[in-house]
Amino acid sequence: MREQISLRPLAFIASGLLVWGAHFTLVYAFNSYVCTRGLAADRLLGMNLVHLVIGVLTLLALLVLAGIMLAVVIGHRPRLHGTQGEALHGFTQSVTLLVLAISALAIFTQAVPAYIVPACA
Amino acid sequence: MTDNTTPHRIADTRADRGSARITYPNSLPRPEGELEALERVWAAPKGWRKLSVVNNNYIGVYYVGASFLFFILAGLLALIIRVQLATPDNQFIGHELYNQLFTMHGTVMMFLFAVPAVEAMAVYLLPNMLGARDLPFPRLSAYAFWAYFAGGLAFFCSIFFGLAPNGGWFMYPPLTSTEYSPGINADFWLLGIGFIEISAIAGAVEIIVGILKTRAPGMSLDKLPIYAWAMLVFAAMIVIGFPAVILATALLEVERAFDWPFFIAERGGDPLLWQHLFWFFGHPEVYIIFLPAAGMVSMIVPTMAQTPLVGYRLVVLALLATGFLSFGLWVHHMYTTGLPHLSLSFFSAASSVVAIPSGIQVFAWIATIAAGKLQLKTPALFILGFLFIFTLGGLTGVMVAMVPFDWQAHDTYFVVAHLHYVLIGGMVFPLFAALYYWIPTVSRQPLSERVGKWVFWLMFLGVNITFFTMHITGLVGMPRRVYTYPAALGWDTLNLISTIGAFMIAAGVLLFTIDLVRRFRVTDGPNAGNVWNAGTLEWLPAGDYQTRSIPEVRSREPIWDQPNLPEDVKEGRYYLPGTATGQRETLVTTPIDARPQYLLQLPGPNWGSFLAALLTAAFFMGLTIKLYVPAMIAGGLAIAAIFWWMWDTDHGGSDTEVDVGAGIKLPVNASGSVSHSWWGVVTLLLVVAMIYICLVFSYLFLWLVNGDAWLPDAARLPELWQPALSALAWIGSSIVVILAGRLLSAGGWVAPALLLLLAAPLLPLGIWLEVQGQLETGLRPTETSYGATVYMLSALQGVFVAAVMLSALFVVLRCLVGLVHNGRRASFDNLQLLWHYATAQGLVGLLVVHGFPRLVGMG
Repeated sequence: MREQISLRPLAFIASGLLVWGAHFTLVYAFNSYVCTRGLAADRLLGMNLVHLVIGVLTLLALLVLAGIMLAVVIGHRPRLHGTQGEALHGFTQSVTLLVLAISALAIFTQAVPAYIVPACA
Repeated sequence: MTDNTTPHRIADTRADRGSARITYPNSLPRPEGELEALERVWAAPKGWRKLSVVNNNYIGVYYVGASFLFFILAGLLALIIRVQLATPDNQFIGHELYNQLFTMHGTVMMFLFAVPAVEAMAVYLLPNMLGARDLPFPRLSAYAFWAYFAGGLAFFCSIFFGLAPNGGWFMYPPLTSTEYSPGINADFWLLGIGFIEISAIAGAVEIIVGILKTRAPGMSLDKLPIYAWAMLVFAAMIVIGFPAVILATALLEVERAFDWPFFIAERGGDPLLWQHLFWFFGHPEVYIIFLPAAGMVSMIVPTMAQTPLVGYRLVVLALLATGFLSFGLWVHHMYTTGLPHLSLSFFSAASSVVAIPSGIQVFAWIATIAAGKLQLKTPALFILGFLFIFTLGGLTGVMVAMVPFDWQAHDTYFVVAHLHYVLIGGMVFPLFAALYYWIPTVSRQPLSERVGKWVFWLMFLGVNITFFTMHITGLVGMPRRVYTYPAALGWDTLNLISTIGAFMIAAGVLLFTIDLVRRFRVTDGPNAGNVWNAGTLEWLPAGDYQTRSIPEVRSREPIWDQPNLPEDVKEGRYYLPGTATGQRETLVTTPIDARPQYLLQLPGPNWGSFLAALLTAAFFMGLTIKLYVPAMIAGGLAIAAIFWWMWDTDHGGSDTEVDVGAGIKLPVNASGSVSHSWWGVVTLLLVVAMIYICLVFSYLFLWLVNGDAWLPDAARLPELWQPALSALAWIGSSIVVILAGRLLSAGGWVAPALLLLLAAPLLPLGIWLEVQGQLETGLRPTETSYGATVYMLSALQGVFVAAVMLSALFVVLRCLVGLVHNGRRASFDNLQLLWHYATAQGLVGLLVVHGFPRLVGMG
């Protein structure tokens, strides 16, 4: 059990990219489904189905990233000891934030084409 | 267990360089005979018994040597290809041999040179760099090496019999399906490469557990050498990426052998499924090769510039981001397959974003060079060559990541030029830099600087002459994989220039080999020493036991920052200066902050891993050439050899704790989630789970492309009580195993062993019930891709269950001779993990097969 707790910094470091992976999988799977089933022109709540779903998924992913960022900055304190523990904490915190930033960029870049390129052409 | 978080007792102090007072875990003088005992337990076998050696400093060197041999062999194939293409209408070799040559060149370079070479370097370097005495599973390393070497040689020899694969290194069906490739050439690729990947995965398990669990005390994540970060990401990528190609090869082999139509469009299969699976592995493969090379560069550049790496945190970010993002790029090899534009755009976006972390690393290296004073020695020259060539390859990579450009350049020599710039720049040049840089740690003398400069310039000019020209050859329209061309097309001069360049590269490699033969002499005694004034632990004085004592690390470049470290380590002032239990040992530390956790006893030389590797290779070779009875015999003997090697690896914990220094008393060995073997099994299960996830993806993919025709009209789903019975059998077996574990904790071994024997038949029973239920509905695996995937889910479960039952047999045998009890239960705990995973995987399979069609209204 103690071992599992001590792995939390690694989990935090990877979390942003895991969110990117989930977003990537969902938007790609959704677009593939829509195109093979001929649903690209469907509308939901007055909006194009593809635009709406990819927009919502992207917003959700960015919100999750923001939540993780808040947890890292104000909530999460690893159980580490001494000066070396502080240095290690600073390292994991800054790398986590950098990973979150590049993940946010990757998610945003991934979503933009949905509003430029036709879904199934 | 002792609480190791308390401040260390000061065993010895000394004033150094005037002011700094250093505390040491152990005092001097060391007891008489301590060093001799350490040397004795770590001594490698001599003479022909050296084949049974497991020490990483030997296996690592063998491994690097074998991968270099395959580099030369694949290079020779390339030279034959270049001679063939040097002039138009050339009839030097026919098209059939040409097809085999380019297939083998790509396959051997990617599977037998590039990945094994970087893994080999890790086997050699990591323990030294991390302050461990060896990797945590030395016999697994030996098995991985011998399996790769024997299997690789057998695979390569197929070219001499006209049996080499000829469908290109990515083996696309339908070209490689039985209809168009009826011989066994394709089987050599499918079974040979599938087998060699086992070796890569074994190495990845070793690397992950080694990096996370066997670091020197104090080497917390923020002090981890960048190379170790790179190898951690590399190994994780193998765990995620390689299962896809293992499954793909299995599906294609099953299709070829039993006519199960996964890729045959007429029966609901889809050749694009192969491309998805292959490139889900294949594109990350590029980074699997590049990241270790980048890790090496991040170690060499600071030494050559004599200054710490600039932007350590950013480089860690870059490694992680590259590793993840590379899994979002696979379709960028499939832009011309007719996928929807938006789907292509997702991959185009990821292809562009991944340039950012790559760029971060390049700028970090340039900044480090700028911050220090670069010594223009041979490793530095190769690094500069790498920066030039790889950056050019990266720029053409951005070009082909753009869909419209890729449509024009696809399958032309432009792509051949791009991939060689990336792979030679991104991997071969860093590897040569690494060889020049690290050979002094293993050889009595370094390689020649004068010859090294000749090697570099020949290779650098050769690569650019060969492959820069190919960009133009591609842009003027020459397609890939043509064995000749007419003179009128204007490609002849360009091809001749490329051929001249290829021979310049060969001359460079030949010169390197001659220098290697002249100067490289492996030593278990004093090596050439820290000739570059490097700062990391692999440069400490070492023998077969690695360092005399395991240092406490306080910075990223401990040799630079901890005065007198090499001498203090050599004198035995640091941790574990001898052998505490009279056996091979290393320290196991916590994964994040590297606090000592327990003392791990490591297994020594054994013929089991060597024999198991040869027999496993014989098993796969027998299957390939359709000698089934000898193959089965070899397979059975391989299992027996694995049992032999595993037999004495679970030492169990001892009641007494041992003092490793600084007043730290550690238990000997451990079980449960702290144990290194538990981590190894969990990593292995991730691989198995990924294979299964890829199969579920295949099921869903084929459902998606088949639409309403997915479930055949004549077929119906089994009644729900049938899968319920399977589920009951599997859940019941897991409950019995949990009960056996509790009884083992309470003492005694008879009841647990009997319970294991009782539970074992329930696993195959569950599979039999599932298959029987499907057969009763009239579903057959050969008729449709739906049937093929449904039965494949059961078949994969069957393979894993067979492995679990063999493990159960192993544990029961150990119970019978008293080697399993509550104090020695790692093998039992690992079996429990495998067992419960088998149950979980089976239940997921039932949900997919019986739940999904009903969910989408097809049941």
